[in-house]
Amino acid sequence: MTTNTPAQPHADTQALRRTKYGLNTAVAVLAALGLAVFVNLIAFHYLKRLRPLDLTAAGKYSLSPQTRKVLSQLTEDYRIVTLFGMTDPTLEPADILEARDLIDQYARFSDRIHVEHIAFGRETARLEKFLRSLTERYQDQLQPLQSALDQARQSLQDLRTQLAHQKTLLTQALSDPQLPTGQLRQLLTSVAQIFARWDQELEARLQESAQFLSSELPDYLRARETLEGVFSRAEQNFSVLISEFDKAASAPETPDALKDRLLVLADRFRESRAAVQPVLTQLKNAPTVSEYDQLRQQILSNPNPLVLIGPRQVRVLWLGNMFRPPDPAKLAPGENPEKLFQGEEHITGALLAMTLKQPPLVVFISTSSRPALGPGGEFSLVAERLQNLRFEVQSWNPGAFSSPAAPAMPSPPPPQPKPDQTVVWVLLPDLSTGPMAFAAGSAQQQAVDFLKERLDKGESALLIVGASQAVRFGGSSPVLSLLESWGIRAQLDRIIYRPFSLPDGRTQAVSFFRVTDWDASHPVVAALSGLRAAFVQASPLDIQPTDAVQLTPLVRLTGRQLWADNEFDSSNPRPDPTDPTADSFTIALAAQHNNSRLIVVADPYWAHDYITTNADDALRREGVGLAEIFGSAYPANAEMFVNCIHWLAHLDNLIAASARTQDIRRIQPMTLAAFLALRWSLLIALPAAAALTGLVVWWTRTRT
Amino acid sequence: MMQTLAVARRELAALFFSPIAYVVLALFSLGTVLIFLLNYAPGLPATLRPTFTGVIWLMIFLVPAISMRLLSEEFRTGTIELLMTSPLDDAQVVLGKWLGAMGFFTILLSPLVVLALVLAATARPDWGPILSGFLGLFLVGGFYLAVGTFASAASQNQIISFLLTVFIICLFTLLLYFLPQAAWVSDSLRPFLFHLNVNFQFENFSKGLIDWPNLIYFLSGIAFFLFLAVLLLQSRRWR
Repeated sequence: MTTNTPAQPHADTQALRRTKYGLNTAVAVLAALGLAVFVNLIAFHYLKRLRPLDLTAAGKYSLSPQTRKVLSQLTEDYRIVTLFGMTDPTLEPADILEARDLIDQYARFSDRIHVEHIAFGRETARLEKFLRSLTERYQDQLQPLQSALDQARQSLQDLRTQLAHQKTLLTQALSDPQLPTGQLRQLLTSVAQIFARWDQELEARLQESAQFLSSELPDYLRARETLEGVFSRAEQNFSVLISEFDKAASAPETPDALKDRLLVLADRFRESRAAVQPVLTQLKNAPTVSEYDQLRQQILSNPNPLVLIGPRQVRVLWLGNMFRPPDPAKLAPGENPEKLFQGEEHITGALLAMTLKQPPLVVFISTSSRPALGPGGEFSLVAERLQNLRFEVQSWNPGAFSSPAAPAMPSPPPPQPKPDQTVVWVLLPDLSTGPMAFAAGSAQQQAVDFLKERLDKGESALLIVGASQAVRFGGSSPVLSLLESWGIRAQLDRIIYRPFSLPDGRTQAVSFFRVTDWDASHPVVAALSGLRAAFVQASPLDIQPTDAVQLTPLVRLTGRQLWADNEFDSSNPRPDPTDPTADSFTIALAAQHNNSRLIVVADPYWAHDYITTNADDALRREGVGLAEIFGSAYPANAEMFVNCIHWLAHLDNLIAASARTQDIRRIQPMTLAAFLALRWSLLIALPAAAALTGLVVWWTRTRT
Repeated sequence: MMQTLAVARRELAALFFSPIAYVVLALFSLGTVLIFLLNYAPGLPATLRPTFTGVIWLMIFLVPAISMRLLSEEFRTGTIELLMTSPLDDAQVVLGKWLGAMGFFTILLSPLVVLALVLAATARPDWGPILSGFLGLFLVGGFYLAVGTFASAASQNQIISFLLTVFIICLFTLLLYFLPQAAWVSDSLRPFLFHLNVNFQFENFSKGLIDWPNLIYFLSGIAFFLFLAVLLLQSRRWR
């Protein structure tokens, strides 16, 4: 009988099977790993272009459409490097986070922007590497100065050697028994002492210059100053010594043996001076790289810099400048109003400026005795906004101010734009009154004639005009004829009013208008959506269509029963029933004729500092000048001005992004008792609830 | 799918019957409240962002405590044989276990819901970042649990599973935080190394942003480690 025994698995077959399955598994793991890495690489490189879903109420991580447009039009690579982490008492950690988040968005939306965050104080190696790279950027320009400094330091070493030798000769002369007591001995003794101190000074300056040159951003300026000072003093010292020793050697009372020593020393001093002079000359002649020095100063002078590096230039912004802190004196106890964050404006503005081969020139033409810009200037805020955006801003007053009896001063010439530089002329209103009206009138005529000439040449201008006493009394304003040639009729003999009901039932006329609705048909005002503007003394503008000029209304004042009155005294003008009423008046127009562009705004205070720097909703006195702290009550005025300039400079695609508004919601004030009660409740209740639940479950289970 | 959900339900019930769950829940509640209170005071921003950021670090140790027993317990008690001879395939077992743990993890996040309500009662928070923060925590938890499921499949000892999970998570958090900052790492590699860091991926969620690269990171990470767990389970058949 045959017994069937089950076959034993062969050991080799088992091993082969394990190897096979093991290899399969290894391949599967590698394939899965490769797929996971590949998918993440794709997401990292390509999907980051897709806009993320921004769930924040204020859209704070979404760049404005204007910034995105700027980024989409970049044709060269730019690098943004943040060196945040320095102590700044005006900033909170959340501010730095907010700025970093914003900057990261720039890299998201453009392949041309590369962002790097270097934590100052923590990432020392990376910081040093970055600073070295900045120095290397200017290497070619710095090379002559570096050579001069190296040469100077070498010469300084040689000078010390020479001084040591000269000191030996001095000592020998001092120990000569023939040296008489008196003036000669005194001279030699004091020179020996000077040499001792001089050598110490040279060593100190050598070390100092080494320190200036040893950092990753070497301070070539101070190193040069130090070494120039050393060699300059050395030259002077040697000159004095040569003179004294020659005099001493030629003195009749000097023994002959000593005369030789003195002459030898004088020759040594001449040799040293001759060695010092070419070094000093080379140092003085070495070119200064002011761009590098400025960059170095900017990075090291203020905390938390942000460095924008483009192909042609490097710009430095500071985080602290992007926030406007509140005035503590104006806060209620426990209140924490938010700072205004203007990071996007600063960064986009800087990028914009870096893309321009030549920043546009904006010239404020003022015919008034009051300054337009600078200390006491009336349009300083809008000028500063333009300067922040790297426009070149200048002012020009073509008029001569004197009484009719005195001779007129010659007009200064207008600023000239550089080759290929776009220029925008801004004619400011004449706000002067009284006797100055005579001089201002002729200056106005000069300004308008000049503008006509420039407009005919294809340049662009912004005219800010206002109601005029002269026009009211039948005279004319030079600007009227200019406007008429563009198909614009300005009623500068009138001011627009609206009826305002007083609590006692009477009706008063007011010329103050708030504008919040903006026409989306023109880029200048389309970008103002959501912002509020104020117009306080507007005059109507009528369009007289012409084929050659394309006219677009920018601002309309709307309301019920508005009228334009030639009564300028607004203390309490009564509405004249005979004046026709209207629902709207146009007070700002944009015009284009071939390449030339013109914007006219018929309100003299529209861009004035009184409105643009006022945080007061009712434009009371106490709000004036506080807009930078609390935010302007009417931000659209300054925004519109900047947009006008952009459009007139043919940069309408790049109209500046508005400042990002803060939307930090804060925990409400509460009493200390309530706060502590809440704290302890949370600390005890939540963990206790979890533990209690566990106990109940355990007890239930044990019972069942 | 129904079978997977059955496994998940069973796992969830087992987790809730285990005292470990309540210890983890109590500890997590305590830790979360402490972190919350560090950033909660009148006048401070009404946001859970710092709390979320702190909770991520807490999860490095608490989530492995949930996952360490998922498969290790089955190996130790021998019930794995039952599972593997059942009509369920290995992927269903792993997915069911993971889903069960995810269910528990979702309940683990309940103290944060309470804190969000406290914030709503004492401020006017922006709900967008809070909701996206929860989504981010959910994804991070899912990723850590997937790592934990893999580690649990690798050993029948729960402690070893726990330690292995913590180790792997630390690679994705601590190592990938310090490594990109090393001076010798090339500038071209640095951003990609940052991209692999879990905290970096979570950051957008805590800010209020839902972004494709972040979603893909977590989903691919979850898929990868669950796949590894399935392979480990399958390998038991032929090892």
